[in-house]
Amino acid sequence: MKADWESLGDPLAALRDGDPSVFETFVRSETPTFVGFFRRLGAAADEAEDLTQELFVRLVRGAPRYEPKDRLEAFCFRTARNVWIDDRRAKGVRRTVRATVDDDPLARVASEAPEPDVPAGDREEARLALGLLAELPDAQRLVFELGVLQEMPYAEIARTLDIPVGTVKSRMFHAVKRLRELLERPSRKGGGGSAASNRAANRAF
Amino acid sequence: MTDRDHIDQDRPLDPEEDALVRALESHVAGGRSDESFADVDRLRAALRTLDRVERDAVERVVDAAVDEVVLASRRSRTIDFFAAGLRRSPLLRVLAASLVLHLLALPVVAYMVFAPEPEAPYRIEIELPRDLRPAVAPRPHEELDVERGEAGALLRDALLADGVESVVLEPYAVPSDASAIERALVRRYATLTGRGTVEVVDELPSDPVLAAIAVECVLDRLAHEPGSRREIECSHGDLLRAFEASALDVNRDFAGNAAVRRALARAFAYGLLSSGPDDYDGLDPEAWLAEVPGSDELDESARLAWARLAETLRR
Repeated sequence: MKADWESLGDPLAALRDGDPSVFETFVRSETPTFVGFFRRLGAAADEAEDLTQELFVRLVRGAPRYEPKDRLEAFCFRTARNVWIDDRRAKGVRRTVRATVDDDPLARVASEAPEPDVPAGDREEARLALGLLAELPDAQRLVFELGVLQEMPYAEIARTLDIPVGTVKSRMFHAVKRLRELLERPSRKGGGGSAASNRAANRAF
Repeated sequence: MTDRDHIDQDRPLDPEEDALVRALESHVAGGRSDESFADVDRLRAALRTLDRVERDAVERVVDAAVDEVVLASRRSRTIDFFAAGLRRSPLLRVLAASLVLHLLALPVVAYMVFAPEPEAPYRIEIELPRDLRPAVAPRPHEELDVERGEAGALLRDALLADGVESVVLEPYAVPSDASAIERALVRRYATLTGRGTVEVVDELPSDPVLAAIAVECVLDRLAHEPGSRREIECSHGDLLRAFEASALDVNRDFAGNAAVRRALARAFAYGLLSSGPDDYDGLDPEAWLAEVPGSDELDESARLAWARLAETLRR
């Protein structure tokens, strides 16, 4: 996925230089990436689509001043993170304590089914996985998303989030540790991996 | 999870933990497959199903982005057009600068046009009118700020209700440093113009001129208010009789004074005295003032005031 970004050429630089075709291709190919990104952070399906639109609108508006200092991937995810934060702020959403399924937006998202063309088994797996992710603090969830789902190196995550690499590692460690603890719970069925392998892994983390 | 927990979880990792995290990074990047991360792989695979988006949704996002690109392009073309025009033409630059200045001035002009009128200054100016202080040197106005206190607010409202912004009070008192003759002249002027009250004096002034002026004030009051004859006869009868007696006292040479003679003639003409000169020729303040000893030292404004009064009475 991200490898394609580089092969397309820099869509923002092209847009700045008056060629919108590369940007359009980029939007078409990466819309699922960012919809998934926002959904895993806690947005509902329709919210995630709106947020993705907002992200690309911001990228267009900023294109005239765009200077490719970082990798495009880091730049885009930093902008996406800002869109997410602004949206939460505007909606007054602040997660401080664990909430019930009824009032926790993440838990609500976890209870939603993924897209209709996803097989039923995968849909259930995704629902459970999203429920586990919802248990993480925001900071850890974002690091896990960028590190594991978006496969960004820790150094790049650090630049994207403007935090030290050590903090990225620490958050990743505790995120995975917490997810494994949750997978060990008896109530989680089919959450991922056998109990034995989970226990073995959890000893390491 | 508490804030303390968050802080604790941002702590530096020990070497073993750090090695595990680096192993995870390498595993995710595909550099080294590690079976101990099978659970993470399954979790990742499950979460990635959320990346599947319907084609319609993708098209909606693309349309929104393309619309924004078109809008941005139009904005850019418009700006470029005007920028090119400004670069080419100095006249256009002057016009643009003028337009900017006008736009900047617009809020100020709007404020001046639409802002409510400032409230009138609520104060009372107290001054001695020049025509009421013939021999008094000019002095600055005394201003009283009536905004202070409830009484001031009430007075202010009353004045505003009548559309009055300020009021000039005309005190009859004269400064303490005025001479006796100046005070007497001010009193007479006030009585002649109907703005003064005639003082009841128990004792006739020993100075013949002051005595004549005191009598003239009584006669002025009668001229103004013919109906007050009885009242004046009661209140000032003794004064008039004393004046008549003094005038006849040859030792005091009262009758030799023109002002005294004129007052006697006027009082006789008004029927307040039983005898006196019968040559009273009417009320003429200017002529009378000319006969008052020391009046030639009055300042110009005082003379003007008396002349104006004489003219008014003649009319």
